[in-house]
Amino acid sequence: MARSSGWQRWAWVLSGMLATAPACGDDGGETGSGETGAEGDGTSSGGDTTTGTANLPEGCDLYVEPSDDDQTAVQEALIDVMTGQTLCLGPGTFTFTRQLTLDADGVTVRGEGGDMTILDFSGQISGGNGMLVTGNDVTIAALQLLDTPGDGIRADNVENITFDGVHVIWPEPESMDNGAYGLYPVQSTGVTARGCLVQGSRDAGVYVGQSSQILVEDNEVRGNVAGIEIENSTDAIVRNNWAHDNTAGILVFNLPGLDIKNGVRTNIYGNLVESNNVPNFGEPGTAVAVLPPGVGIIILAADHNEVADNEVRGNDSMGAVVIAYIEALFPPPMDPEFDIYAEGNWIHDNMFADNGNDPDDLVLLLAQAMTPGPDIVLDGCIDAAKDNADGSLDNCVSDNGDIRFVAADVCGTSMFETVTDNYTCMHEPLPRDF
Amino acid sequence: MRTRTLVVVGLGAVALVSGCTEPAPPPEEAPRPVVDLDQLPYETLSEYGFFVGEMVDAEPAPGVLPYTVAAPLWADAAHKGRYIVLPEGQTLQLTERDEWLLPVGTVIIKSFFVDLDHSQSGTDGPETDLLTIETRLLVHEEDRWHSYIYRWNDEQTEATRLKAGADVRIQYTDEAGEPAEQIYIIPDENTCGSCHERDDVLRVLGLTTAQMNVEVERDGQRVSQLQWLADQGAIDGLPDPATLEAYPDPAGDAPLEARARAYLHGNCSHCHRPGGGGGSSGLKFYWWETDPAQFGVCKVPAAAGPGTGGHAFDILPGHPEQSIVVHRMASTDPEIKMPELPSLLADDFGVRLVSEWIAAMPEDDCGG
Repeated sequence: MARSSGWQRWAWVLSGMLATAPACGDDGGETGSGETGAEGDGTSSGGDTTTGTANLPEGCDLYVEPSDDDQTAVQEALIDVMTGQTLCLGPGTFTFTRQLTLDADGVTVRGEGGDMTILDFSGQISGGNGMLVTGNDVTIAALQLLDTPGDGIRADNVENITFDGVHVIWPEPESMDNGAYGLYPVQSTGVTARGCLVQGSRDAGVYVGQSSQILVEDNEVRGNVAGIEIENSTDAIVRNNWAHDNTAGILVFNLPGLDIKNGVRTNIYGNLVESNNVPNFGEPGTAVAVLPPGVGIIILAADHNEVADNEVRGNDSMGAVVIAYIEALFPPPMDPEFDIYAEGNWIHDNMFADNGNDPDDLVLLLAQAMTPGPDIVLDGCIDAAKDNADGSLDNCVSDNGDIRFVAADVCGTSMFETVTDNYTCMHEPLPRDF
Repeated sequence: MRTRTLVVVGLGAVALVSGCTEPAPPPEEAPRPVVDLDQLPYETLSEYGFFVGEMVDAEPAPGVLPYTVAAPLWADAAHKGRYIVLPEGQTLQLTERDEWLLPVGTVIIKSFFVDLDHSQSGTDGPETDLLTIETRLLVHEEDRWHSYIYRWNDEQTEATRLKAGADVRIQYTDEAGEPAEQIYIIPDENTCGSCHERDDVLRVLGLTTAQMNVEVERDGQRVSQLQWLADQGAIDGLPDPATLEAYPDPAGDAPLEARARAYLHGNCSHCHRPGGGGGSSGLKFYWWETDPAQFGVCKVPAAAGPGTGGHAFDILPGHPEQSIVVHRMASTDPEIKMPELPSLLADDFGVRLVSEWIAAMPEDDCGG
């Protein structure tokens, strides 16, 4: 149904544009040729309307529709597409057996919509991702990756990658067969995920690793182990997202053993983080597998992050937690340059409601059996070896209304407190835009 | 489907007296290959003229120099024929550790062929039933290296450029003499970069001193491959190969650790190093890494997802069965398996070798 209505839309656009030209291909039926529609010689990008360009929808330099060999048609187009060009994928379902790869710089790959252009990877036999992007300045927009055995889209070591309106869906809830990461930019600079939907990942829906200059906004993440995870990354803005019905909603993690470590400055604001109570179906051995279900926001071993103006509600274990990389949860880090402490974080002006209704055992332990469970937990740890004379390493909690609060004694310093008064310090706000 | 008989891949045309210092003069009737950088890539493999006679017999044309490496990459049991073609009159430069410096115009050729009759495998006799599937080229053009892939036809008479890759179904006879089928993946041309690209630059992989510093058979004699290449005029001023680093044969008789590390170098280090496709894992499998934590010992995974198999460490000393490295090498699940691409089958030999190496490590619970 979706497919034919999409076709009608294209046909309408084209009939208005080119009164005498036939619509792309024929009727969008089942017998596509597998050929890509491309400009004549790939070098004349504007001006005269030739037969080579007549079949191209507006704004598209190459156009591929579903056929009986989607793998070849789409991959050839991904190889042929050149800097500055847009590859459009038509409505309907494309099927693949191998990972798609995009290595060109300055390319846009655009579908007809996250529920209109479906890239179906359920039969994939090769490759750890549905799509691997290694080109710089790439935008992937308005399409869906369905049921990849591994990750959805990975962007590896690139500058400027944008996911816009991309859906990554594993339809089976909490399935051990689902892939690990939905959107997976790593070791990249200039990352944007906007208006995307990720559902069902066994690790993190939107995972940004070892990257910098990151904008994650207006996304919906649901049914994942972790909704959004910013890991070993620096200067991220995570705003206006809806993280719901995951095991945990939004995570800022620093993990040991990586070349890019000790990320700082993630600004989490304006998000709705609710009902993240899904049982943890992460693979044992992964960092997220230790997460207790029912947590809204987690800052792990990361410094100078800000959490403000969020609505955090209905998370059954606790609303938000700031915690060191501790051996109660993880093996010893074996990384002398890794800073286990979470310091200088500031949680303020959030609305917490209805959290802690059914705390996990681990959270009960952390919060000394507080029931209902807490809205905010600090671990009570500051690295004694660091100079904190100016208080910049303190974790601060201010203006969150009437909350249940715990400063635990994770570091064995007997700091367990249930009042926020001693933590109402403030830090310099992080920028809200780049 | 035409098949062929081959004893040693592609040596017939090279007339060589071991120890001579002058390159052998090319036979007059066989021209050198045609590599016009302005015209590449050609649509068919035959246009390059890399081989004389029946192309599938892979008799190198003058200037097409066969080579092998100490620790090759597993490719679903496919055999490989490797050749280097330097521009006429030019030489390559050895480097100590990194890939060799090769002049613009250099072509690296790698053909992949499979044995269609496994019931004859393991004997010392010639492979008698071989099917060539694809030939991959790396061409050093003016701007950078480019990769081109050619798929052979069923008649084994020609190979035609294939940009987008293919799943090739191969019918063969298994060890028991029964009919069997294997899917062999020809990668798309971008995917060449998943192994060959590092820091955004496409590179050669096998052409390093330690990989190339092996003995080979030429005209019935065991000779130093480096010396042989120098004798062909490919290398100027070669130091005594015995003074240069050499990786051991992973299947040879070197100490276990050296063989395992050579295997991991050849199969994993092109990705698992800074700037490589697996660089974000933090693992470094190159031969010269000396810190065990960097090649996985007691190292926790970063973003392995279900690749962990439930294990906590990449390598748990003494326990290959609890080591993520072994779990992933042994898997055929695309989400889990390593290397990720493009093979589909596990290399049982490599799994055994790395398992033996880990099993032989002194036990350590990694603080767990």
